[in-house]
Amino acid sequence: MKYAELFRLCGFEPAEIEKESPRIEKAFRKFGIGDEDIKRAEGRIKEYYDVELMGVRKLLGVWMKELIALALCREEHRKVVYSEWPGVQNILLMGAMHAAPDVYFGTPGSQTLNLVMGGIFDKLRPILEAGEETGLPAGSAHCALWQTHVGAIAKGLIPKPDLMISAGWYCDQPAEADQLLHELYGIPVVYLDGCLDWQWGEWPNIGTRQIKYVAGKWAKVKQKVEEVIGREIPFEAERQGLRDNAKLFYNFNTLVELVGKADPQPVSQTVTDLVYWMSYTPLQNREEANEAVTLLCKEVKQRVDQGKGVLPKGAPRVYFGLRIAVDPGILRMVEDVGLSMPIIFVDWLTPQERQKTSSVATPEKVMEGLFRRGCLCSASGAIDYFAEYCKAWNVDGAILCYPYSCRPYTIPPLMAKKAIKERLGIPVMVLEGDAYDTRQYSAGALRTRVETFAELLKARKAATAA
Amino acid sequence: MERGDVAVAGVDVGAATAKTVIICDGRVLAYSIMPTGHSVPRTAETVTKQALDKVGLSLADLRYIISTGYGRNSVPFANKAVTEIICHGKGAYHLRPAVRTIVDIGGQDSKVIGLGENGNVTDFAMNDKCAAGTGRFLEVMAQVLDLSIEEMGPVSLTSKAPCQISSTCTIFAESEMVSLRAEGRSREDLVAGIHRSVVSRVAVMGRSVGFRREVMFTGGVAKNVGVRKFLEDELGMEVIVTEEPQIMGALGAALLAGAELNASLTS
Amino acid sequence: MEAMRTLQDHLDRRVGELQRLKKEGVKIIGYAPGGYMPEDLVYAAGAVPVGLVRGGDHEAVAESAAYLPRFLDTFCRSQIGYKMLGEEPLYEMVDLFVVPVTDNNMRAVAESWSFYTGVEVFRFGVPHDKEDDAYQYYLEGLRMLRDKLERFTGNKIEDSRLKDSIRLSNRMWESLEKLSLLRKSARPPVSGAEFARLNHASFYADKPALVNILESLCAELKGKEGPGAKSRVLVTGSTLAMGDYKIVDLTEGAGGAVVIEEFAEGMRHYWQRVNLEGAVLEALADRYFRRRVPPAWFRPSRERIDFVMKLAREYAVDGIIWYQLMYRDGYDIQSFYFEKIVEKETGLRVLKVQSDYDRSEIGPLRTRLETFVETVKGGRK
Repeated sequence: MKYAELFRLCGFEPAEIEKESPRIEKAFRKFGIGDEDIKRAEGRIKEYYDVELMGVRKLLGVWMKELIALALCREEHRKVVYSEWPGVQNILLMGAMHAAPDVYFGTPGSQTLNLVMGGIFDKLRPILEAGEETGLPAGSAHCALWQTHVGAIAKGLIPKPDLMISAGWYCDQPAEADQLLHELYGIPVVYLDGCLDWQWGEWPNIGTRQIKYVAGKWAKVKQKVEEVIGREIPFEAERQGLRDNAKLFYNFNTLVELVGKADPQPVSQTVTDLVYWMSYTPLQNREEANEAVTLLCKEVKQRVDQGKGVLPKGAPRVYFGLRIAVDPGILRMVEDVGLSMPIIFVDWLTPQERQKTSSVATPEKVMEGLFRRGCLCSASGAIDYFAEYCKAWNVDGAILCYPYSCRPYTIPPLMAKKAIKERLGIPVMVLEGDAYDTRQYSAGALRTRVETFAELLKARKAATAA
Repeated sequence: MERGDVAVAGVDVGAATAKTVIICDGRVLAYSIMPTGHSVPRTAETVTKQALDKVGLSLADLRYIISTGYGRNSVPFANKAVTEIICHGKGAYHLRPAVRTIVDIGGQDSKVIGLGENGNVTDFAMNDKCAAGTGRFLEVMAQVLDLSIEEMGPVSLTSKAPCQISSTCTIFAESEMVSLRAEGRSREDLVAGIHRSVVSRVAVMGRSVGFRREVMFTGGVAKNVGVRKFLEDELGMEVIVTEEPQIMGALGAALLAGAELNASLTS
Repeated sequence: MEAMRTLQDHLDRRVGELQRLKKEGVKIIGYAPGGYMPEDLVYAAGAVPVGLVRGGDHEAVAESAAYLPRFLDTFCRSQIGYKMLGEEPLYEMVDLFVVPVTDNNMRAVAESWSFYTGVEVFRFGVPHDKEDDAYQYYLEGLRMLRDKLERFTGNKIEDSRLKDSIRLSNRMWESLEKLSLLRKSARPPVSGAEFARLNHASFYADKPALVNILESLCAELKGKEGPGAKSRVLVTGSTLAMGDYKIVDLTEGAGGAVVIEEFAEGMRHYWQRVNLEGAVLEALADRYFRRRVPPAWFRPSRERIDFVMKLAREYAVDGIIWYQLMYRDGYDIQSFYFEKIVEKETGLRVLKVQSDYDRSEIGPLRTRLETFVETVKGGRK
């Protein structure tokens, strides 16, 4: 197998490649990655990611290492614990990693396989199909994250874990899929449940009832994790986990602000997406990830100072909420047609939050922080939050995406389009896609809409300027 | 063509048909329409050549060419590609400046386009990968009922009680046809039901854009008198259909080509 | 059946009667029919509850596309469709819409009504397990509902009035259960079609009148026998809505008998009574949440599956029809292992049917159901 170039593109030093080669080869064999796949991955990386920047390469490297660690998790660890997206409970696991370094904690379906096998190798299809055959059939709008999770386990691509932590507080797919795996294979599951029952207009005054309920479940999840790993997660370790996540988040926030405030847009948003999936993830190489983000911030800052960018200065700015994640080609397509995207997240910090230095210290605080993101709370919250976002990032228009397979995300877009047009007077386009599966919605299929929207915004800008 | 005048063209390669319009000073010199074959570049070339032949010009005489439609990025001789939504807006506004809404039903997709005072596109909605509410849907149904696509519209107007066709999927609508026929519903009622279902899909889709007067109906399906009639009923207003609604995108592209050329000449 | 005719007379007059009550200033409280909204709180507040349980019409589904993407449960999407079409008198008259939030599909009902209609919506959450914190959360929701109803109607909910209303509900459930038990007979005196319509009537009939009718119906049918059937079928799934009778009608039209149903929404649950000793809200929470057989999205999922298998045995069915609406993810995923568990533990065959309230489904569905009724005949192992 010829993988030296691929790993060089992922920021590996030659010595590191040599040292890691037995693990790389074992992992690639396990996932059926061959020379053809490696070639494809190299091509995609060069096409979609700004590999001129060493920070970007290092970030890709962190993800590549996640894939290798996942492939070898059974042989390299005493126990295996999975916890998928939405991953707020993973902060607890970051603490558990300190308490039990001999246990593997990972987010195989929603992050590692999705991003690396999907985004980089474009080789997710057989895994998705295995998921479709195992209870999450095609044509029924099941989430591709969970098709990946179930498919990879059913195919034996990744080991059956000793415990699965399932977040049911936002949508039902995680818990339903894990119940299915439990019934089929007897894998133990513990649920982080909650209720999204805020009244219309209640956000942002969200109260404490729903928060306390999830936080109570958090304690039960912790107890179950301790039982399975056979070790206590001491308070200090839990604190350390929270600090770990906060540190990455802090660096990430610096990057997001750098990219979002600059004109011209200094770097493709495909890179912030790489970091996004690292937050709330129990990374195997956390320090490297932090270093990579810090380095990337420096490199981007340099570009900003030099006035260099990947789009022309003054390009129309759009809020591109809930981008279609598995295919970096879609983000590139939006930039290609001349739209600058200052921000691509729906669950990013609120403007007020960014002004406060909030220390995430307890499960209550963590959950409160999440529910402050309106779209994780209610439709009225989502509408207000999207509108606030559009103002805060000073955009000329908004593209509200929703993955067709995501029940909670499908609820607000049509309402938000109407509301934002009325409140802010800016054009809004609703874009249907799939966050994690490109078979149905490719960059090519979405292009006409996005291109038209770009033309529309450019014409508006020109008219205002004249 | 007078000396010193310059010809430009718009080439619209849609899913079902390809269209070329050649204009000079905003006047249409010639146009041509043909089915889109397997090769987009070849079809684009042939249809453009057909239009050129009508006025005795050659490709080299065209000073600027804009391609549009789903195949817009595969037209090798075009100077620029612009989406068909923008082009429909341009074309419609040029012909009727009072137009504020365009309903475009083509072979594989349908769109509702909102226009501003100046003819710029302000909003639009487009069907998501589904043939219901498109020309393709009518074609499949015509085959099921053993009618030619041209006969469909006139037949639909003869029905007194259009059937309810509820299928959101072409395949299922076919089987719905079969069971309705088994129930003894007349062909006219079936055809009318089909037309009404296309219209109601588009009407629901366009609700977020709004249907402001004047409404122009474009695309190949606009030639169908049945769809036009049901659309007018559904919207409760008259809709404008120009003599050749199918070339609206190509016309808009040609007009944009003229503007591009002027801009480049003045700069 | 005399009682059935009386019921029909009552229902024919009921919409007008509700309109008259509304004119007189009585508040009409609509609610989502998932079995988590104790109507007795509404009655005790001097208002009238009306379950919004309509389904099965394509027009409402088509209309909903302007307000919600199509990848949500069909029944749930229909609800905004009915309201926006403005043709359903029951949907037009509600002053307040109470939605127990059971999952995101049901949340979409609440959110779309809040955004697009002028009707006020009140939500309270239904957690997805039965642990004590979940019970407490639901109970807290009932308290909020009680306070909301008091504020909305201006009437205090007195315990005595609430208990009177609950006693009446207990009688209603008891009658429904009795009727249901009659269907254990080899020749059930009530058909599935009749039972479903009776059950649905209870979502808007006047409760005292309904209870009288149900009780006389029980008396009337005792010891009677119906025509018998080729095979006996249990129907289970997400929603059996008022107006969506194709599964029951086609099954019985093919010579089968639907002898028992178990649904998350649309069919009233009647197996439990409220225990009136002790604190009354707690008693309601105990009946509506803790003892209620949960929908598929509860974890762990075995309680529901075991209950369905118990019904299948007790009602001596020959086969099970799993009827779900499109995109109800919780049910779709569970169907995969439900079938495996049921076949392994009971030997019964499961037929899965999905619907998007589309007319074109009828033809193929008739064929499938006719075949099913024939092939499961005596198919118990």
